[in-house]
Amino acid sequence: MKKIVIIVYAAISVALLGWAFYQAIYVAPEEQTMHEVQRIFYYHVPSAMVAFLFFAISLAGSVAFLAFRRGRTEWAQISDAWALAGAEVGVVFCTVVLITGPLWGRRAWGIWWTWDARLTTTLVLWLIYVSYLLLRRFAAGPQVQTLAAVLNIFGALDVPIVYMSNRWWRTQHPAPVFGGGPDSGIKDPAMLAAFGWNVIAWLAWGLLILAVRYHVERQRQRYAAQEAQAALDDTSNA
Amino acid sequence: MKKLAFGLIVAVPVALLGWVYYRAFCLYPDTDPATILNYRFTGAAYAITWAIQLGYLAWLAVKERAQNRNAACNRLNPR
Repeated sequence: MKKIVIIVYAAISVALLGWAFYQAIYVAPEEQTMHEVQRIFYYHVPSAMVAFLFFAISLAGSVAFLAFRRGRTEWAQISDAWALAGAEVGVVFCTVVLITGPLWGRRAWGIWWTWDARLTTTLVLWLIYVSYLLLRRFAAGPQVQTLAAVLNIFGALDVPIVYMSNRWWRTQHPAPVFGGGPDSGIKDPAMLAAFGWNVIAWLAWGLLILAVRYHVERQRQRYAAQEAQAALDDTSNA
Repeated sequence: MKKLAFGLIVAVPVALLGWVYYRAFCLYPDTDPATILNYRFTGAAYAITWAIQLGYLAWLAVKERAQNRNAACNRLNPR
């Protein structure tokens, strides 16, 4: 039953991505100033939104881990798995943002990169979460999960800074599409629909790979616990 | 499920590369160079996005498989 649900959900996610792709490329009209290259926006902005959501899930997982780590070990492990899955899938989406952004910038601004507040804070966010993943991967010892959770909480502080950066400072990055003042928002209904479909599709896909990553991490935790138990049994038998 | 994922990982990039090639080199042959460049950059952004997402999914599948294999190996050969 569980397998069928996963297959149906995966199929729906892929169908949504196909539909969103069609909307972005063939249905949404060409933008008047940036022309064809503006269509990068339909992948760039939803990816940023999904990355922010997953970093928030990761933050919640780390806070829960710190809360449960002394009393409720199983809950702490579940929280830690969500923290890791959220951070890793968030980094994947953030990488997409950092690659599609310069591709658009090269055509729109004539440069690949500028040390603008929005771009720089996004790069810092990516570096913080990559360092979190490196810490998880290469550090050893009983305190790694706790240290990683603390780093995650500090790293998450950069998310609101990235979000607000083009409101607080004058930036070369375009003004916020939503909530950026009276002129913000997508005026063309077909463009708005294409954007909405891409947000839904990438969210559905992101949740799918988040669930897969969580499953893999929980499985690793179970195998590690079994190995530790076996080692303990060996010691007590000897 | 694994066959479906494998098919997706192979079919989507192939289809996307074909689409990018078609848009960059076959569509509107008399279009000006700036517009052609716009098509290429958009195609590259879409293809790279898919490559990253499917590459990550493939890496997860490999990781899970290695994990299961190691666990099975440890069960068969306990210390």
